[in-house]
Amino acid sequence: MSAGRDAEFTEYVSARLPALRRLALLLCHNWHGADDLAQAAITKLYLHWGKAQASDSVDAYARTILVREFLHERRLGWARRVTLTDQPPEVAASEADKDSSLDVRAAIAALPPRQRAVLVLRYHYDLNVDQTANVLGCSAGTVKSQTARALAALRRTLGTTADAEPGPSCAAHNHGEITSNA
Amino acid sequence: MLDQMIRRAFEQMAGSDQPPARVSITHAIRRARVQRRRQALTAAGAPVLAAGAVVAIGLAGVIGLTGRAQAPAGGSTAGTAAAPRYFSLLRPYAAFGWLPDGTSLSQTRDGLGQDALLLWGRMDTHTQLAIYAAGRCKVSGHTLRCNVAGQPIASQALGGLVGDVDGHRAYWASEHLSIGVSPSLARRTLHLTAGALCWQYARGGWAVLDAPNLRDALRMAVSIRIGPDVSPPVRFALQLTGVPADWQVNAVAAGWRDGILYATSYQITVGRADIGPEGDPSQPATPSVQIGPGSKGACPQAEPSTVINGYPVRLWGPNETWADPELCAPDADGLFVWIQVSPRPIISPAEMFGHHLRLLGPDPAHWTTQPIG
Repeated sequence: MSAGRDAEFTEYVSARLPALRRLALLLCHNWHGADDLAQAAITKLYLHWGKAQASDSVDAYARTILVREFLHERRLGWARRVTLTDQPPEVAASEADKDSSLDVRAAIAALPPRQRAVLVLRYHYDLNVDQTANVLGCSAGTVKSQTARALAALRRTLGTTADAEPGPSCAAHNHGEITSNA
Repeated sequence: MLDQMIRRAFEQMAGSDQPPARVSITHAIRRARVQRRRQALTAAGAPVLAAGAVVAIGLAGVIGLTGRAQAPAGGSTAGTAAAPRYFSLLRPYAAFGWLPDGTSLSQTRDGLGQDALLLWGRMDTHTQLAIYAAGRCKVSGHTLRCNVAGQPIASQALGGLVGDVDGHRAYWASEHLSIGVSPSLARRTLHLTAGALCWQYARGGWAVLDAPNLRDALRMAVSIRIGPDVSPPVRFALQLTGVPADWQVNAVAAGWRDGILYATSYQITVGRADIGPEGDPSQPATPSVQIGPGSKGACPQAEPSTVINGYPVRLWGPNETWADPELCAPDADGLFVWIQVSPRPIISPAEMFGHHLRLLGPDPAHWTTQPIG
C-alpha cells in the first residue's frame, strides 16, 4: 500500500475513530473490549481499504467490518469467555434513569452477540431489516428471528416493566418487520 | 415501550464521555501488513502453523530477562547444532526475553506446533516470532521460503545483513516484497518502520521475527532463547480420560500465571488433523476443548442450565446462532470450563464433561503436563 493510501487511511480513521469506538462500545458494553474491537476492526479495514474506498460509503463499510469482527470474535471461545459478563456495563447512567437504564443495559449485555448486534443496528442506527442483514451477512429472515428472540429475552429479563407497557406497532418505527411478539 | 427503553439505553451509552482511546492506527497498519502476508499464503492452501503468544511483561518476569539483552541459553542454538525436525506441542521451543517498552499484555496466548512455532503479542503489538523446524525453510536467491505440512506458508524477501544473533547472520526482510523481488529493491526498503528479522537459529532451522523496527528487532532477537529447555512444559488443569487412543492434542493456547505456563485452551482431534489458520483452536477439527482455569469467565446467562456431576453447567447449540454444541461450567471445582465440539459431533460436550474430564482443581501445583491420561 502506498504512502498516499496510508495517509488517506490514517486520516479517515483519525476522523471516524470516535464513531467506531462508540459502535464498539454498544456491542461490547465496556471500553476495554470496545477498544480491542475497534483496533481489530481498523486493522481489517486497512486490509480492505481499497474496497472500502470503492464502496458507496466508507462509513458503512467500516461499520460492517466492525460488527462482523465483533461476531467473529464472539464465535471464538476465547473472546466470549473473557468478555461475557453479567456485571453492569461501565457507562454511567443519569440519576433519573439509573435503575431502569442499567437494567436494560445489563439485559442487553446478556444477550447472545448476534442478537445484541441486531438491536444495535436496528434501534440505534435505524437500519431496516435488509440493511441489517447486509451488515451481518445473513438473511432478512435471520434478522427478524434474532430481533424477535432478543426482544423476547429482554422481556423475560426485565419482567413486568416491559410487558406492562407493550411497545407500539412495528410500523411506527418504519424499521421493517420488528416482531414484538416472540 | 420496550423499544424506547432500548433506544434510550443505547443513546446513553453512546453519549457518554469517551475515555482516552487505546486504539493505535499505526499498530493497525503494521498488524494488517503482517496479516496480509500470512493470509495471502494461507489462502494458497496452507494448513498453518501452530500459533501462540508470549506475553511481554509476564514472560520477561518469569525468565528474568527484563530490560537487557542476553545471549540465548540452551544448546540448540550452537553453531553446528541441528534444528529439530518437529516441535513438541506440550513444551515451547522458544521464549522471548526482552520486549519493547510499553508492551503490555492483558492476556497471553501460546500456540505450539509440530512444524513451526509462532509466538505473538496482543493485537496492538505486532511482535511475532516464528520458529521453523528443520528443513521447512529454504533460501532461494534472496528469498526465504518456508513451508508447513508441505504447503508454502511464508516468504521473506531478504534484505541487508544487519547483524548477528547468537553468531548467526541476521537479515532484515521487508514486509511486502513478494517472491522474485530484486535484492536492490529489498535493500531500499530497510528504512521501513516495520519488517522482519530473519536468521538461522540452528542448522536447517529459521527464525522470523516480525518487529516494529530494526532496532527493537535486534534487541529482541538476541534475548530470544531457542531450545528444548528454555520453557517449562505446559500444564493442564483438565485431563481427558477414557478417550479413544487416536485422540490427540492438536493445538494448545497457553499463558502464564504465577510463573506457571498453563493451557488456556487446547484442541483435541481424532488422529492427526490440520489445525486452523494460525493454529487457532477456535477453528478446530473435532472435538475442541477450551479451558479457562480462573475466575474471569462468565457463562452466557441466556442459555439453559443443568447440573452434571454436581456442577452447574450451561448447554446450548447447535442452533441458528451457534453452529456447534457447547458447554460452559462457570465453577467446576474452581475451574472455568468451556467445551466446544465441532464440526463433527462425535461426542457431546455433556458426555465429555460428565464422563471423560478429570478436573484438577484451581491449584497449578496439581495440574498435569499430560492432557490425555
